[in-house]
Amino acid sequence: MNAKQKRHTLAARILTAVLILAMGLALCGFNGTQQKVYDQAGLLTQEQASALQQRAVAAAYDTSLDFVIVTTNDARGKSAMDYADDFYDDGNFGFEGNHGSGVLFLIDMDNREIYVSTSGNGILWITDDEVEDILDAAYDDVVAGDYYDACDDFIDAAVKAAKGGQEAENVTGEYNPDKEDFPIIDVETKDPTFWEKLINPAGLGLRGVISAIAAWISTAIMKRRAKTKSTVTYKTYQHGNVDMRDARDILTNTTVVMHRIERNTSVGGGGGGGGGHSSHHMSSGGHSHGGGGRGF
Amino acid sequence: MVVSYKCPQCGAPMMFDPESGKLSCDHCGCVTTVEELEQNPKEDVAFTSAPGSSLSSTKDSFKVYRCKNCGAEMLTDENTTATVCVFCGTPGLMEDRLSGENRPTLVIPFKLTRQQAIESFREWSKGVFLTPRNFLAASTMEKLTGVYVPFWLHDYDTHIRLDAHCTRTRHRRAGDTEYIYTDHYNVLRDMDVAYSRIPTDASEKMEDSTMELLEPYDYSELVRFEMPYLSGFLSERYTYTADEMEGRARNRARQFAETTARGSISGYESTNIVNQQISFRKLNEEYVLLPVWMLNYRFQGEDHLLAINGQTGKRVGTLPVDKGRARSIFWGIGAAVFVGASLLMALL
Repeated sequence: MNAKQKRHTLAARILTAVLILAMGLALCGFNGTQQKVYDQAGLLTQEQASALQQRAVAAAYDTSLDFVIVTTNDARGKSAMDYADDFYDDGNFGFEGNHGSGVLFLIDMDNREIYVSTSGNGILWITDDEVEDILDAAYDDVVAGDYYDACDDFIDAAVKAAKGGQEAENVTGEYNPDKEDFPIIDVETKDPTFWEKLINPAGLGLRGVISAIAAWISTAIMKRRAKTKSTVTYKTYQHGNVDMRDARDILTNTTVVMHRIERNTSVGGGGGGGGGHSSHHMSSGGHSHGGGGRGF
Repeated sequence: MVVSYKCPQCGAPMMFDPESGKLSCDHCGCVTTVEELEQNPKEDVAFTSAPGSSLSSTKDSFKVYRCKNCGAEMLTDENTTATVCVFCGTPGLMEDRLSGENRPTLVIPFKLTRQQAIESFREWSKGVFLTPRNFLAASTMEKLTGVYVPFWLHDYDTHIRLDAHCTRTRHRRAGDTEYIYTDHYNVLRDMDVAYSRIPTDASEKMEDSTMELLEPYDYSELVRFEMPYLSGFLSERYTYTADEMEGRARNRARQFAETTARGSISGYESTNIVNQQISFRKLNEEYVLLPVWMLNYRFQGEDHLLAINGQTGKRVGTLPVDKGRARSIFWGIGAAVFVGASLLMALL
């Protein structure tokens, strides 16, 4: 192998290393070791809390939303909404990093209210209707005092809402006098930066497959060009025209198959779910949240 | 006797020049046509037998000659008809192996020069970025040799008769009922097709598959064989007789005739050949020499035979692929596309 070839293989190795590094970086924005369950009101046993912690982390990887569960006996004079939003903001939660996408479930024993707070992509993926569905799932348990079941049902319902179901087509919010705009802008400024997008895990596999196919095709074309094909056809050495002495196409018999045509009477199935609606508001920390709550 | 043609002016050996189609003298630049040289031959003994030479000839079929010009010794086998001294380039033609029944009737003289052949390889490997880096080096191209390969050209009249069962379907709808009619046909084709000059390579040393890919040659440029055309090139006499090549030639004629006959049946949804009869009438055979530029290239333990049609310039063979280069190109393109796609996604 000469020096030039060596340089070639070296370049290939460096590129491979960079690719692997990029994939690694893209996958580790989320901190799975962070505490997700804060049972300040002591509604859960130790085992229940750690079970929920594990479920919350798994749900986060599943949905790309950070899952947080909070209980409190003392809302410090705040409403359930404010308490939930501030807890999320102050705790540095979010799948992409601080103030990123996530969903927080609060059992507020002070205000006797349960509250679901959504952030980032959570606002888009969990619509107002779906927030109601989540509250529905957890409400009966809370009323009955089954707080663990309530949290468990919250995770199930929120995962379902985030992964499937509706996606908000529009997001409305309160006018933000500081920014002289609707907070929807606030959501947009939360868009991942160029570099975050560059290492975005979504579509990583697709890009990998596309690159592999492109590389394979181009080397295959080159290898194909290295080969030669025959240029002799059945006519190359034919001398003069074909002398057709006899050509006959005689119809001997006809066979018939008959079958009834079944009329297609069924009408097409129902259409897919349409877009939903998400509303959101600003927390005291200046970050937008969606969600909803229900007293019990 | 091993002869060469002498320049009428200076007496140096003359070589056939593919570009002009004439013989030229490297020494004084004198040019003569093949006809002129044949009418007034200025032959000279080029190589003399060298019995008891330093080169040991283990087989009887090998013979050692000594170049009269430079004194170098060279080994030839029993089939060599034209060669050049590897040291001084003096051409030598084995007259007795090119006469009588060994005399080719026709020849297509070289049209592509050595330089054009090298250029052709260069152009070819340009589109294939995977060839080893030393492939186009002068040391590799030195091994490129111009060879007149012995071929038999076979003429056949073929008669082919096909009986086939063919079907065609029609559809008709009446109310809720669909009728599918299948019409069955007895199809007959009976035809005569003539084939002229189907080539078969008559040299044991040449790979048949490679030689077939070199085809077709343009037969309009076949000329009556004269020895001077071989001057400066290598050549061999046939090792297989026309009769020995008969089977191969017939097989090709059969394939051509079958394709023609089957192609004449059309307009059916299914065709099933029930019976096929084919007969051949051998018309003529000709012994000819056809020009080939050949390059034997050894790379990573594999031999690659590359050839260029010395008349049409058609290239044959598989260019060697450097696996290391192929790998780096694969990863390079893969990485470039990946980064490109990532940028595109990030920007959109």
